Amino acid sequence: MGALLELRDLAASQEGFPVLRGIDLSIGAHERVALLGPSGAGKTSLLRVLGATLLPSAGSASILGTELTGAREATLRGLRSRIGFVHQDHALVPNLRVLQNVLAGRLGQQGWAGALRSLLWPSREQKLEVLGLLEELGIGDKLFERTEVLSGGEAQRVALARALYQRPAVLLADEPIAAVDPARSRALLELMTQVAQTRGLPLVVSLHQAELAQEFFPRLVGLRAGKVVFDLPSAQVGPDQRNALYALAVGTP
Amino acid sequence: MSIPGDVQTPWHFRRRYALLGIGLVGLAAAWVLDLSWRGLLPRGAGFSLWKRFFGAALQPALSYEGSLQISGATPFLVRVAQSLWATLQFALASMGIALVSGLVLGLLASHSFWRLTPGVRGQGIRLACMLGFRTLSAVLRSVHELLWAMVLLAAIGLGDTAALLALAIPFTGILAKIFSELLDEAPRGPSQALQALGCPTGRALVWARLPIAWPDMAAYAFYRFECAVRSSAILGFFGFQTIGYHLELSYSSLHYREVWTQLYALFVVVWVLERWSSKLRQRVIA
Repeated sequence: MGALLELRDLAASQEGFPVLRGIDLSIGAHERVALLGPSGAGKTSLLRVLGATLLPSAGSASILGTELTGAREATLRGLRSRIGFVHQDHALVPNLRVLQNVLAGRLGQQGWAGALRSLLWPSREQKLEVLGLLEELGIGDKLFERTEVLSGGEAQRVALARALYQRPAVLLADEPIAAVDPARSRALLELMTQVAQTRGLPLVVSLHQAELAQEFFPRLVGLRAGKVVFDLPSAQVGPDQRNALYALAVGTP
Repeated sequence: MSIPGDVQTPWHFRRRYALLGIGLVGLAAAWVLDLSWRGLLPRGAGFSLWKRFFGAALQPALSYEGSLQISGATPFLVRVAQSLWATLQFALASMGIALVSGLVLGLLASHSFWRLTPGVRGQGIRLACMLGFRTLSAVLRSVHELLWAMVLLAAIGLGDTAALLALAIPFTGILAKIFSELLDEAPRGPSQALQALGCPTGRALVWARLPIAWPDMAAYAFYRFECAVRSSAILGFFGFQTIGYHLELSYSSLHYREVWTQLYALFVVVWVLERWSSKLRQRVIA
C-alpha cells in the first residue's frame, strides 16, 4: 500500500501570494511527522493542503487516494470529513457546550436532520460516546461545560476530541501547543501521539519548538519560505539543520 | 515636520465638526418651522382641555364614564383586560411568524450564507442572490406597519389575518436585516473549522455562527416584541379589536379617565414584558 498523503512538485498560493513551491512529501500510515520552520514558512499552508482545504496551484496532491486538483466540491467535503484537523486557536464555538462542540465533528457525515438533532437533542448514545473520548483525553468532567470557560489546554483537548469523533483516517494539528503553557504542552503532545498510535493514525503536527519535535516525532520536515529544507529522521537533525531554518539570512541571496 | 503615515483626516470628516454641523442644522430647522418654547404651553381654550386631560390622569376610570350606562355590557375593567389580551395575542402571533421568516430571510441575506469570498465559484450569481434577498428585506421594512395595515385592510378586509400580516411583514424585514448583520459579524474561525471537517456552508453557519450571534439576536428580538406590542395597540385605530380601538373610542367620546386607565394598563404590560425579557435574556446570555 502506498502513501496516504502524497505531494509531488506541489505549489500553492493564498490570495494571490505563492506560499508553497516545489514540495515533494510522502507520508504513510502510522507515521508521525513534525513540520518545523519559522513563522511564514508555509507550515499552516502545507497542513491545509494535507487537509484538503487549500488546493494546489501546480503539481499534484493525493490525499487518502484522492487527487485534489480537479476534484469536485462534494468529493472534497467527503475527503475532509475523514481528516481530523486541530486548529491553532482550537476554533471551537465558545457558547456551546463541550458535548456539542465534539458532536460537531461528524457534521460532514450527516444531513440537516441529523445535524440539527445532535445540536439540539443529542441522544444518550452520542453523549456516552463523547464522554468516552473526553475521559480518554482526561477531561471527562467537562462534558456539559460551556466551552468558553475552559483553559487553553482543555479547549485544545476538546478540539482533539472533535477531530477524533470524526473517526478520521489522518490526524493533523496546526501548532496545537501555541496557546498552552510550556508545562502542559508536553502532556498535550504526549496525548496526541498516544491517541494517534492507539488508532493507527498518521499524525502531522506543525511546531515551533525543535526540541519537543525531536522528542515526540520520529520524522521532521523543515520548511523555509515555502520550500522543504530538510526531511530527515529525527535523530539526524542537528544544529546545522536547525540553523538552516531559523538563522537570519545575512549576506545570503 | 511631518511624520510618515500621520495622515490628517479632512476637516469635514472630523467628529467635532460633524456634531457642530448637526447642531446647526437642528437650530436652523427650529427657526424655519417657527418653533418657540411658548408654543409648548397651552393657552386660552387649549388650557382648559389640557387641565381636564391631565387632571384625568390622577383619577383613572374603574368603570365606564358618562351617564349613559348600558345594562348587561361587559364591565369596563374586564373589557380593558380583554383588549389588552387581544393586543398581546396579535403581538405574540405576529412576532412568532416574523421570527421564523426573519431568521430564514436573515440567513439568505447574509454574506456568509452565499460564501462571498474570492476563490469560490459563481461570485456574480451569489452576489446577485444576496442582494435580491437584501432588497426584499428592505422593501418589507421600508413600509411602516400602519401603512401595511392600510394596504391589507384594502386588500383582504378587517380581520385577524390583516392585523397579523401588518405586523409580521415589516418585522420580518427588520429582523432579517439585523439577524444577517449579526451573523456576518460573528467570528469566522469556528465555522471555517467545521467546513474544514467537511461540513457544508449552511450547516456550518447554523452550528457555529448562529450560536455565537444568538444572544444578541435574542436581545434584539425581545426589543422588537415590545415594539410589536405598541404597534399592535395602535392597530386598533384602524378598527382591529386591540386596546387602541377602545382608546380611540374613549378619547373621541372625551372620556379621558378611561383613556388614562387604558394607557396605564398598557404601560404596566410593557413594563412587565421588559422585566420578563431581561430575566430571560440574562439566562440566554449567561
